[in-house]
Amino acid sequence: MVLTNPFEYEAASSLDPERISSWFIDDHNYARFIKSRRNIIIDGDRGSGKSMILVYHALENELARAEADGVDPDLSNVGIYVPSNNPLLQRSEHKQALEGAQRDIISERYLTFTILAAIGKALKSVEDRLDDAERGTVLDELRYLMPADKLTGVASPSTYVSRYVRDALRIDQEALAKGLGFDFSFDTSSFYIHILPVLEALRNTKPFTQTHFSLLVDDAHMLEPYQQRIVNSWLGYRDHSLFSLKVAIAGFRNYDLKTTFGGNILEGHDYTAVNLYRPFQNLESEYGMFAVKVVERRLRQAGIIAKVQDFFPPSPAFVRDLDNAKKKAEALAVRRGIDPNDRKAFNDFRYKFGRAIYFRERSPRANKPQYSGFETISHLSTGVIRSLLNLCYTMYERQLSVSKKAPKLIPSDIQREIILEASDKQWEFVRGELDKSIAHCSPGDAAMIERLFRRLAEYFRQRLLHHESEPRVLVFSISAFDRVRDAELIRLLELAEEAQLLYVRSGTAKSGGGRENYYVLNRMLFPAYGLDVQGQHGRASLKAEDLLAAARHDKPFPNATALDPPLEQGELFDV
Amino acid sequence: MSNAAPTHAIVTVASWEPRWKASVEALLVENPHAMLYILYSTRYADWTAEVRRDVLAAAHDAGTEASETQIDLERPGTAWQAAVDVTVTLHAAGVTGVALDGTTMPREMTWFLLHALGELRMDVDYAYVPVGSYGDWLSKESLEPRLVLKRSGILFPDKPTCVVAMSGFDLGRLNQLVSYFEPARVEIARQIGDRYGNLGRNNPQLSENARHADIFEFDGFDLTGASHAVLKKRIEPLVPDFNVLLASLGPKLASVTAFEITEELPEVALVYIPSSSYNREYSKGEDMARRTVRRIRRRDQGERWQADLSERAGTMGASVASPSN
Repeated sequence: MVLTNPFEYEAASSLDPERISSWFIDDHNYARFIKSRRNIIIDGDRGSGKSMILVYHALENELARAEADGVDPDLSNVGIYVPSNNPLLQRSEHKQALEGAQRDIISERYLTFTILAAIGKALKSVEDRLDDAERGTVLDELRYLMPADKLTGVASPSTYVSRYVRDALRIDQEALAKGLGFDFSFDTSSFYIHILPVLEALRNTKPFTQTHFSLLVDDAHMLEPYQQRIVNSWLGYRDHSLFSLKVAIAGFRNYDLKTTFGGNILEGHDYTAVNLYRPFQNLESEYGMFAVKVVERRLRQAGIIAKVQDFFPPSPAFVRDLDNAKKKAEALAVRRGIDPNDRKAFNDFRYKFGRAIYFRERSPRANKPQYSGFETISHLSTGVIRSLLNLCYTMYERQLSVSKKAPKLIPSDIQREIILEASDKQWEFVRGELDKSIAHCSPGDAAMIERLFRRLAEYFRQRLLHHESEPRVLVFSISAFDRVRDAELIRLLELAEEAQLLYVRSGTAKSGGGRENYYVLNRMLFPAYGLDVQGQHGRASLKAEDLLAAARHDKPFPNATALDPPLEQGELFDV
Repeated sequence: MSNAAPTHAIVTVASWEPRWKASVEALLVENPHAMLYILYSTRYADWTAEVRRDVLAAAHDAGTEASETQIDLERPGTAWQAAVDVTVTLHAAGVTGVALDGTTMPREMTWFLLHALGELRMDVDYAYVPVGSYGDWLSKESLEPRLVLKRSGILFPDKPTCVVAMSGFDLGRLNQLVSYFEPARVEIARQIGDRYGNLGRNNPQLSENARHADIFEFDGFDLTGASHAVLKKRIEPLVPDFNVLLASLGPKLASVTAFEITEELPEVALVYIPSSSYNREYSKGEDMARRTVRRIRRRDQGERWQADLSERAGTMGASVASPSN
């Protein structure tokens, strides 16, 4: 029998309804947004679960769940999933050869047809709820909007839509492929010509009388700029009685907020921004709890009843040594005059130094620490659920190949082995693959990023071993920054972000109030340097010139043991 | 191609690599009455200036009519227009057959020219000269993958994506391609043999996005049509269910096979990953013993291609046989 790895993961759009239903952890916070009538932009890193949230709420999957649960589906808010990473939208004519009105016509036509096809797919799953008269009414409207002699005999509205889209796109693309020019005479297709009237026609049928349609536009950052502007113009449409848009993007940096009318859409007015960056400081944090739920769900579905923490147990030696280190931290606190009855100060000291002492007292000749335990795995994923599953998947595969039978747990030595291999692989990527794998990253850029990250890892190690008050700070913000002078630094950090070596977050500024960006390194980089993957509350403040000196000249960061300016107010999420 | 026909032309894109000059000189010898049409990149004009002068002088000495035109290879719309201009110019001059020197021509430009020449029903012989030895890398700083103008297939929004990649030793680009399109299915045609250290370089791990890729073996250097058949057999059944994107990341000769696949299966889209950084020291010398000239198969020619191939195999010996690895 072939054993299926319970931590298998796929792009959400490739999953069948059963898998979506069984894998998805319903977070009611997000459901509230998706089910609202507001326009929403969901912002999250690649692999953070944006697609899964949208796909889960697509009509086909809602219906499958309702059927499985034996209940009537709720059609008050119908989600229509629209993927933007389809290569049709990446065709070259509008991106590379055409300009002006011709480019705009094709660009909008492809986008409109992509949404029409999505409507057709959604319609297919519900059209048996329409009676003959209602089907006829919808078909009349479709024939009026999209006349096609070839489709005269088609009696199903969804078939009509999907065949119309396919026929029209085939004719368009064959015409564009012919000859030496780009002469074409396509009819204009737009949201107002083809989408809105179809949604209105559906609303005139009994099952959809009260329906609000949510167009779930996934990966909108993949759309070319004009298509992004079209979507933004729709976001600017204030009447939400019939439809709204839920648009998922991978960072606002990659998404243009302009409209086709030349204006900009505004948060609060035109859309509500929801970000998927979940705090992940420990297993009780939002991400920690989410990670437990995701993995636990997979274990249960594989018939494994163990708790997540028992399936991925930490090394007993690691637990013991850590406990000893915490006791030493308590003793050190007393020696430093901290009163054990002052629980806050005492616990705070132990929290900061307990783990640090474990790492400090390891012999320089000792092997790398026993990285293991679900909490460690959760931290290594840096808040990205796909990274979490990837680690669990690989560990399961390794244990399966060792034991030749379904694992009841993943031994800590296997966990450690996989973690160290994955960390080494991440560094190999940093050293040798960046300019080959990341668009716009030159060999020079790659070399600078490698130097910068190596120096950052060394800096954090110095802090861990020697810092007097904040040894386990693992994130940094940039001080003495000048947008013009330090533009190169931002470019390098953006390339690193593209490579998912780095995540940019926003938090309370260290001084002057307001917000500032801070930078979270992919924790998978840490084990190769023997670093603690669990950080503490706090941020290192690194000067822009020092970051650039590390990148350009391989210069170590000065003052790894210097004190950081305090955060003005508690920021629990930035470890 | 007839050696004396005045209705023939040699079309090439100039390069600083030594094998470019060797390739053009060989074509000049084989086609003494053909026009020579040199395209050269504006960006790398300085790198190619001296060798272009040499080649133009050699053409002049041979009594060959020669001209050169600057093109902006970084902008596909402009490069495409240059391909059209060349084709229309040759067609207007009465040219009916072209020796296309693909030795150092970027794949995208090769595809543009093959498309444009094919549209005007010109016979095309594709010539390729391998390097004597490779340096560390040819190109870096790749840009986003893009579908190729005029060869973007027939794509539908309600089909999942399948990437079929003919891989070489540079798996970074393959990973980039898979990461960009996030296809539901990945097929990798892995180059066989140990040519130029291929085995040694072809082993890096695929990214997690491609962990379920179906991998099959493929010889990008094959000229017998066997590899074409292997590829077609893999791709054809995918077409009804997937938007198929075909990328040629391995041997350049395989890019011609990719083009021919899209001649037969026009639904399939060609994908190109451009680079913006080249290594001037990438290649050393040329391997004329493994030089190849082969006829391009067009969709309106049907079985004629196989007949041409057999005929040429009989007349040109090693130059059209499958180079062994």
